[in-house]
Amino acid sequence: MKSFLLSRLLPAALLCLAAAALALVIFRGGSTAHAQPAGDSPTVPSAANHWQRPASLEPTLFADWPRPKVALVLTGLLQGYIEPCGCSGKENEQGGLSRRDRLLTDLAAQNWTVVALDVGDQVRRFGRQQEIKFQAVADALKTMGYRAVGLGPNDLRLSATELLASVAPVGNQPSPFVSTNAALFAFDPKTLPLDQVIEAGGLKIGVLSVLGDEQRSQVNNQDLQFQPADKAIADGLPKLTAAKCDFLVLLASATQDESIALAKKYPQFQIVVSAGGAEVPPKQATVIEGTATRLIELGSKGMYAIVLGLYDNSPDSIRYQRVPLDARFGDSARMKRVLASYQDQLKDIGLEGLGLKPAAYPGGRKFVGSQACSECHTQAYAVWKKTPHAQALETLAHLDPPRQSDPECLSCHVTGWEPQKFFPWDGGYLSLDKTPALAGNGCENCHGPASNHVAAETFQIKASEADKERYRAELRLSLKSDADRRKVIDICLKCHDIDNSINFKGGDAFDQYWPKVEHHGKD
Amino acid sequence: MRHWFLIILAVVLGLAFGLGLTVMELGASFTSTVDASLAQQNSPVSPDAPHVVADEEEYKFGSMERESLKTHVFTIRNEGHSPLSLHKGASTCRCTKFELAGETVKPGESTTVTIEWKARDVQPGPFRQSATIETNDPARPELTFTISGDVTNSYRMTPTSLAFSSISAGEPQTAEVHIFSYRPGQLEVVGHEFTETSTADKFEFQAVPMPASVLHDEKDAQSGVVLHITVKPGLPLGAFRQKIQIRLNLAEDPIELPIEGNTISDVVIAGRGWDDDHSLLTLGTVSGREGIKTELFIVAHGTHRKDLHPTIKQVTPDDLKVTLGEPLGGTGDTPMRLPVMLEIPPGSRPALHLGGEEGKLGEVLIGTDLPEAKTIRILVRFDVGE
Repeated sequence: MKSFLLSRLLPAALLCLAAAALALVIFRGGSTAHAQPAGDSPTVPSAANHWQRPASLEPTLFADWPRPKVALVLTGLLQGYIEPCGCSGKENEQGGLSRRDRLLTDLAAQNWTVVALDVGDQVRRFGRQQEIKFQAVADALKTMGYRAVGLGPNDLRLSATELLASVAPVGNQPSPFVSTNAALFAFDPKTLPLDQVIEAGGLKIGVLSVLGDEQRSQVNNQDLQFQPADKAIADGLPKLTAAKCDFLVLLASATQDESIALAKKYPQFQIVVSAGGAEVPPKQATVIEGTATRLIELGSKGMYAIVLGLYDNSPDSIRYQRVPLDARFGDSARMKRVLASYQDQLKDIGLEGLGLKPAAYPGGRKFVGSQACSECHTQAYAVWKKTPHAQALETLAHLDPPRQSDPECLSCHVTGWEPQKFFPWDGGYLSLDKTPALAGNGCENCHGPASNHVAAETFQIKASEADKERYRAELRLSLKSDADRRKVIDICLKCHDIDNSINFKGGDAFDQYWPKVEHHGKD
Repeated sequence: MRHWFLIILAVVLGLAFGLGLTVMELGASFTSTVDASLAQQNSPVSPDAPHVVADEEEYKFGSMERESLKTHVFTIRNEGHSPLSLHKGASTCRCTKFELAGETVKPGESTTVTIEWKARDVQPGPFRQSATIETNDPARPELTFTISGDVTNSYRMTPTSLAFSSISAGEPQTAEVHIFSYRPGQLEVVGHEFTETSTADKFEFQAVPMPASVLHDEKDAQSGVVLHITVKPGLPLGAFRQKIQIRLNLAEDPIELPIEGNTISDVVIAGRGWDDDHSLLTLGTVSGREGIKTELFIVAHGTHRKDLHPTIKQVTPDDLKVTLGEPLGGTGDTPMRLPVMLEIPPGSRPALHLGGEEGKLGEVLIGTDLPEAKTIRILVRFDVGE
């Protein structure tokens, strides 16, 4: 008996155990192979509740989705909105690079093969700050592992030299950027690829990226070369066909009409990602009439991502999920580092280095600071001092990272700036050292620069009674008539706009906010 | 023979055990994102339950002029056998006002959802907004109503702002702007004004009727004008800003065309970490063990750009290695581009080159045959750690 146990049963049991252990390793797959990205520690989501946010238009994401061969994450039109911010609370805002990174890392943590593509338009405005921001976003997209990133018209308005520094490959790292019909200085695939072929999840995905002809007219940059989108696609498709791609994707920085026209002319593309379309993408993708091609809209301001689950290379096996980048996605440590580096650059360069020269205020008046108002308007000043307006600059300094060197934040958090164009007026805030009296969102941001009024009332200039009354009238605001009220609300909306103060919209909102700052004239 | 049978049996049993364990542990993670309400959806519905019905859930407003307001009323009916409870849910934007007329709907009765949207603070183009109503109908716990359409204007200007990305200091540059009108009558510019008076003399404005071929491509446009905006030589180096107020015969208010740009010298350097004002490249703290590689681009514009002919004249300190790439471009109007690779090799010794008391900055001198830049100087700030 003993010999039977030793010679037969024991080896069989050991073999069983070994086979079981092998099975565990094989069938569990790469759950330990998808290591968390270096430098970040997102938690693996609790499967039961991570993708849910009951108070959202998309309360549940990826419901009933089996694991796809590839999860295509489509983004674009960030338009400079690198992070949600404002005075209505981050939980009420959507978008930002941090949440986008969390979406990608959380999908990867579920063992999904993720391929991220972006149609372009990382910035919205022109100037040195946008060049630095583009560079920061380019770094962020590379860190997130994007495989194809197009260039939109707002990107292409930037200096070609700066763009080149951001998009060109560094060392042996290939560039994820792609532009089929727009070149920086000259068409050179080594510097800016004309296409991307991505192998992932057993599929080969071919990507072309074009700037539409209408969008082309938005760009005035002598250092670029262009081809018509149509011709560039005709020239570029054979290469993808020769590479035996299973899926073809067209990133189209084009109007919706032009995107559809290109899709109909080139039905080889299974997916056309269009920069055209409404601010909110549809709940389902549209199949373009007469084709099997899906038209994907991305919305605007990077508030949404679209995730397509590819199950095989048949056009019918694609699942679609619109993903609002809302507060269900937490912060990403590595994106926070990118944003901190961006703020450090802005601080090092300074306003002058960013090319921000004060502009003359219409009429030539200058800002004097709220302290000057306090001498006569003591009650109004006391009210103001207790409001968040007075602490607005400190609010920026206490953020992580601090933002008090960022013109796009300063414009509403200090006195004497054009709030929607992000530059100082002559006599407006420059720094705490040079203009301490203009810290915070002061009286003159709503009432206008008070230099004439203060000079006249304090006898610094000779002014007749008529002049004095004229200077007072320039600054006076009233809520008596509908027109007066509308004028006041319009002033509030310059800072409490839809991007930064989503709760403040329309007359009803004003009635809720006004009591918090209510003040009346002279003591 | 019996031995082999036992071996195969042991392996099969072991594999089956391992697979079964895996499915039990991980199978749930692929499928358990189902919302409780959706799970409820799949379970049998009581015949006494409320049953919510909406005849339409999407409405197209069509074209809306900017600043106009449109409203649509959706109807919700209860075709079930018990009261239907409704509750306002989320919307895509708080700019979308939606009101629910009644929160409880008896069987056989109906209520309405009114969605109002104003085309305010939006650019012309497509729009789409949605609002959700939550219900106690187990088969449809929520309804989403969507409005969509196109915001239009009586005119359209494209582009809406001008950016002169890089203007050589000594050469003029002209850009075109198109203004389309969708009203009857011939559009004309009746006046214009440069608002930045200090530099107004450096700009030129010309308006001409739009050619029929261009007008034809714009849907519903009745007429148009083409503006030619020229930036003349003489602006100082650096960023510039201008604005043109344009008065049109067919528009009540003047329209504004913001202009921005950058006047550059004929030789420009760009790259990650480059500070143009101080000719300084900041590499930061470099690991001596790993080293670092980075790249700058020197771009030469202007009539002498083909005289680049770069050579390295001097590089300090010794730990800093510099290589010049092949100059590219220069054909036609394209500028010359010169890649400059900078490297702190792996195995470099700790050192400080942060400037001032923290060590002398690194310096690269590149010689050229360009008349205005015989020597290009690149300062490099870095420190090498362990």
